[in-house]
Amino acid sequence: MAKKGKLLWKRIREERTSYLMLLPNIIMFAVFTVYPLLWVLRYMLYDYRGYGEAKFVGLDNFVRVFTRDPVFWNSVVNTFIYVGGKLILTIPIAFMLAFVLSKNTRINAISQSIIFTPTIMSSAVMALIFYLLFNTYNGEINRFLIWLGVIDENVNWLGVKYAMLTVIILAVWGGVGNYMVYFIAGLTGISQDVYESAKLDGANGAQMLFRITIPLLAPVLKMILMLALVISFMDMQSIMVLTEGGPMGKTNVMFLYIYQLFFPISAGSAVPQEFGYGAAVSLVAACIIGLVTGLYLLIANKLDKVTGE
Amino acid sequence: MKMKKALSLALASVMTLSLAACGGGTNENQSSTPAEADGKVTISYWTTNRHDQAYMTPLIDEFNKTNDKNIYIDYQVYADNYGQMLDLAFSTGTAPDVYQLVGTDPLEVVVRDKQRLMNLSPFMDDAYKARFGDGAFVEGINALDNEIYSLPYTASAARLFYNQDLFDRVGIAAPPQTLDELVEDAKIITDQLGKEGIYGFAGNFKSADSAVMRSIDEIVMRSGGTRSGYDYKTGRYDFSSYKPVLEAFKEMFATGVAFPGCESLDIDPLRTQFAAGNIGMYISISHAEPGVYKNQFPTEQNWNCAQLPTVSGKVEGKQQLWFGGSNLGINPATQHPEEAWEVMKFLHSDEVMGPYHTAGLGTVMIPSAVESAEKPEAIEKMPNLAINEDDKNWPPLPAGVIVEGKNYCTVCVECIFGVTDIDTAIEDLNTRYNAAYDKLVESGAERVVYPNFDPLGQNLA
Repeated sequence: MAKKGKLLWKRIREERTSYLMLLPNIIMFAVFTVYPLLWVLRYMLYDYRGYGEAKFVGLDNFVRVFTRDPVFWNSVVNTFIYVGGKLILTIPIAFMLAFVLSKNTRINAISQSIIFTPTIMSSAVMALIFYLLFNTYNGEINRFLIWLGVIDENVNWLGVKYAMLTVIILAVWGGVGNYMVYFIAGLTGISQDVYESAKLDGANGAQMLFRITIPLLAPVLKMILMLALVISFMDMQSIMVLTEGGPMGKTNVMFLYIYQLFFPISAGSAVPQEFGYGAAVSLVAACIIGLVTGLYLLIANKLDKVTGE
Repeated sequence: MKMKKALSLALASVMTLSLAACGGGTNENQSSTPAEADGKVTISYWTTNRHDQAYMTPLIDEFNKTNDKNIYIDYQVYADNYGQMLDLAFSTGTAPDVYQLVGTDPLEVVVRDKQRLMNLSPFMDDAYKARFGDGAFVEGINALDNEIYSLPYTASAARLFYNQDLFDRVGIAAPPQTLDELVEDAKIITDQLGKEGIYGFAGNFKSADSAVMRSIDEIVMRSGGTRSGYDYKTGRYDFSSYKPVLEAFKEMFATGVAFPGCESLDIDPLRTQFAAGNIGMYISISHAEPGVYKNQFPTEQNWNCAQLPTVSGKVEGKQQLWFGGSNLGINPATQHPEEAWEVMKFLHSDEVMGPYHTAGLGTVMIPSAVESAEKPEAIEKMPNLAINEDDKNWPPLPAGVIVEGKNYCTVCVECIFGVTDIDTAIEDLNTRYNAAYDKLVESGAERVVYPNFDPLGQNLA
């Protein structure tokens, strides 16, 4: 045992530079990830409002989540609609853009930069711009659609019926550039020799796309989809600015609901802070995301095996 | 190799130090004492009042230069996240010495549970208390068990704001006094001017709490109903008095009389449309709108303000002040209580608050300051902006009631926009709010009951 300890200490001494380099990250990880996680695991069993004494309530917070909180489950449904809508639109559009703009030309480089710009913009600013563009009374989107003759009266884009669609459009606009770059990276990794051989064999453009490009992009696509899935489940900033989860909870997603439990959005809000319950909801939300991601990876790996066979 | 090691160590040290710097922002207000404060006792003062910053800054500068108590006020004006900033400051021991109170926590919670207010009574003699007038110190508003924790400052109340030009164009002689008249007037404006993009009524329903608390709640109270659903007479929640108000609002929104897109409208975008002459009427707060249309969204429209309409047209209950009775407090953990009190005295002095009132920066609640002031121009033009005998602080609501599910403001907005049936909603609210309150009472809280209470007389015996 003492020998093992000595060996470990020797190894640490030999690699002390590496450990020193790791130290800031380890400290940050401990402070900003491990500590909050332990905090959540503790307070999910308490009724705690951020002041005074925390009252132990056992599993009551979880009983409330599963049996008495329709607002949370409504936010879960909204989250799935949002994530589904965002992915169904973002991934194909990002792929098409990457496919069209992947060749290394000046015009493509400029186009890529323009499409990528929303990714580096503040989500709050994007949401404010969308608020102006989509507002019912004098938004530019309504004016443009009326000018085109697509609609004959203003559409209430931020109303009950279309608010979720508007939020999804904002998410697509903000996310498509990022995924386009991932796809371009994947596309440039495919050897040109494969395409040249296919051309010699008489393959046309569509055949090359469906038989070469997409299958060879599968590993990249798998990672992109997983990233997109997890990130989309946690989206909330732009929704908070654009709709505050409204109207009438129609765009209230899981993480926005959790945020509201910890921090009431408006200073005069009549909703009290519920740290203990918020911690319990956070854990349930994390489990839902973990479950969906795990399920996705399981299906993707099975498909890999099938196609591999 | 040695060079490489040295570089690695230096890099690691810099990164570690930078990390420490990130987390080390404690006591920023005290450690970054301005040069002018050298040798003086610094009292930090936090507020959210941006509208009076131009007025207060030179006065505070003058105080810092001339006061004989060796005090320097470190004056900080915060914006939207003030509540969170204050929470953070109190939880890390870096809270200001004097600060503006925010949020809807009852005074009892702020004083006893959160321990965020110092008892001011020991600093005040009878003569000083007298300058605030009779009935200035109210239990649950600025006093608790006859000890004073905050002082009257300014007050604000909800009012109906209307465009007189539009009223003249469609032939409406006077602003509505009943809810039926409100709906009818809104309909007349939209029917006659809708083709020009002008609508009769609007509300800032993007934020349900902000909208309902300034409009529905106030009309219900003024009509003799409950406050936020709480019936002080029975000690139970009863939202049935919300029904006629919700029905009237629903009618305006269901029939297309109201401004389109109100469910996603914030108060400032609403004000821009009112300033542009596109809205006939809306409900907002008395202290804010004159400044808004003078500085923020200057307008050529001839606008005015009226008392809120009621169900019957009669005033059958007092209307809860939007704010009033309290504003500033002293942090009980301050190292300099005497100096903090001197700052409080300065901020509430006739010399500061008299011209404040004249300038129309707020309706001042300190009689000695108002007596020395001239009538503000805005109130001269629109007398209904003034706080009157119908504007009052109701008794505090029961503290610590945690209601599961949607809060009543959200449910009210759902009713207005036809998502939820009004009768079903009222029944559900009564059930959930009473269950939450019963649970609180079972855990030891005392039920708030005033058997002789009525919304107009406010008898707390």
